[in-house]
Amino acid sequence: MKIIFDRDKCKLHAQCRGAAPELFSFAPNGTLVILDENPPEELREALQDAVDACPEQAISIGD
Amino acid sequence: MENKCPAKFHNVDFCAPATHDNPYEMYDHFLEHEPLYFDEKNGVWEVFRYDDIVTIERDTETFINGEGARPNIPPDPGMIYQDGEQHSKQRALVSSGFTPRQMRKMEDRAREIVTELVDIMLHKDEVDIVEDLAAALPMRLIADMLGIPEEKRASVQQWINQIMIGGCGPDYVTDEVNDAFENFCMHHEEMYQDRISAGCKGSDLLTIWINAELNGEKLDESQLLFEHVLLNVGGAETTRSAIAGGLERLSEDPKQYHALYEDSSLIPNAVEEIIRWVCPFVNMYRTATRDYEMHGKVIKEGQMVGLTYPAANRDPRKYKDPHTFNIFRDFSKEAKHLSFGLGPHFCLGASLARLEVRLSLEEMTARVKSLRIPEGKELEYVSSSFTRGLKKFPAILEAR
Repeated sequence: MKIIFDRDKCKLHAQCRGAAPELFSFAPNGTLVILDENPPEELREALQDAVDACPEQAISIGD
Repeated sequence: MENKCPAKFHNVDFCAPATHDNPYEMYDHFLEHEPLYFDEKNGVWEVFRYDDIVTIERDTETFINGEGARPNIPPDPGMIYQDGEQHSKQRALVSSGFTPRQMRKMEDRAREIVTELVDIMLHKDEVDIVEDLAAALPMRLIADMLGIPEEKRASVQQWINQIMIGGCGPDYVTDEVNDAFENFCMHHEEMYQDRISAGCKGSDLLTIWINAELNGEKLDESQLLFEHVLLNVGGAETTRSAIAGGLERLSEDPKQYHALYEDSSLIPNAVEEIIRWVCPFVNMYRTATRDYEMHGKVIKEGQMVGLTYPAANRDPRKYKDPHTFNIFRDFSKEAKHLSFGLGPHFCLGASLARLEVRLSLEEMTARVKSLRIPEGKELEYVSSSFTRGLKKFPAILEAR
């Protein structure tokens, strides 16, 4: 499983962070950081929540 | 010529609770004529427009939380006062108790509580929507999440109400507020020690926080205390305002209330409109780390700027008929409301709050045909420059 993240779309709403804190974080300059680009299968539900939560549709799942 | 600066909007004290009683005429004035305003009394700036709040919340290098989030109230070790990497780490630990996955697990319990509260209300001739539903639901849910013993719950609620009053500013930190905070600290210490001596094996939120670990780091004792305070402050009173305020609007507008009964798939959008319209948090403040120019004025390094969320939620640049309560509002065409803020400090409890408002609407519309204020009775509001909302909402319910 792979996180596909479109940085140009990201407006830092931080919804992904609330949905999946295991996968998304913020750098000190405020930009989004992906903690694990190839997360284990047990985090699929968490990643799907983050995909659903993003108002900009900046995140998708690549298998 | 139109007088663009009515005298009544000179020298506005944004920390004074009464300033935010029926504030929308004032917010409209500032939205239109003075989008960046310097409050001389408190030495802080205020912004109102949607795009200005977004700009500030996104620029987390220029506008920080570490110097405090309210005027003249010093920061504490809670995550709301952290910036950058420290904030990310701390928030990751705290949010281990708040993901949508955990919220889905909460739904059954929350529905049970709502059903029971509505049962009780339907047996009464007259109810108080605030006490009997809007305050009771978040309080019980949070108490359940934390595992607070039944006999302590009423006291905890009272202390939190006092602590909220202190949030208006140092002039409002009375002896009662200090006593309430001290009592809450003792209550926290008691709960903390209970969990330590039980070996931290429980599934309550405090135990989840004690056990949370990220790259070998854990929340220390003072952080635990302030996250515990924040959960109560952020979770109880604000959700109460949203549920009560939403039902108040709907009681005045039977057509929209009936629409939700006819088609419950409209409820999630109605929840967003309620949260936009009520906007329980009046503001949060940030501190400038450098001189920053906006609307031809300069926010100086070290000065605070208040983000007036309820004004932004009624910004006509974003919302059509902003003062109209409309459950059909198309947020994808207009703008998402800012009641939860945005950026790194976006409300951690947003999914919990949405769940509680949604379940309240589902249960009420399904079982209550109408609600009206009894003759001779009136709504009462909390006066506050921090969080606003209904204090009393007397109502007579008609069962379906």
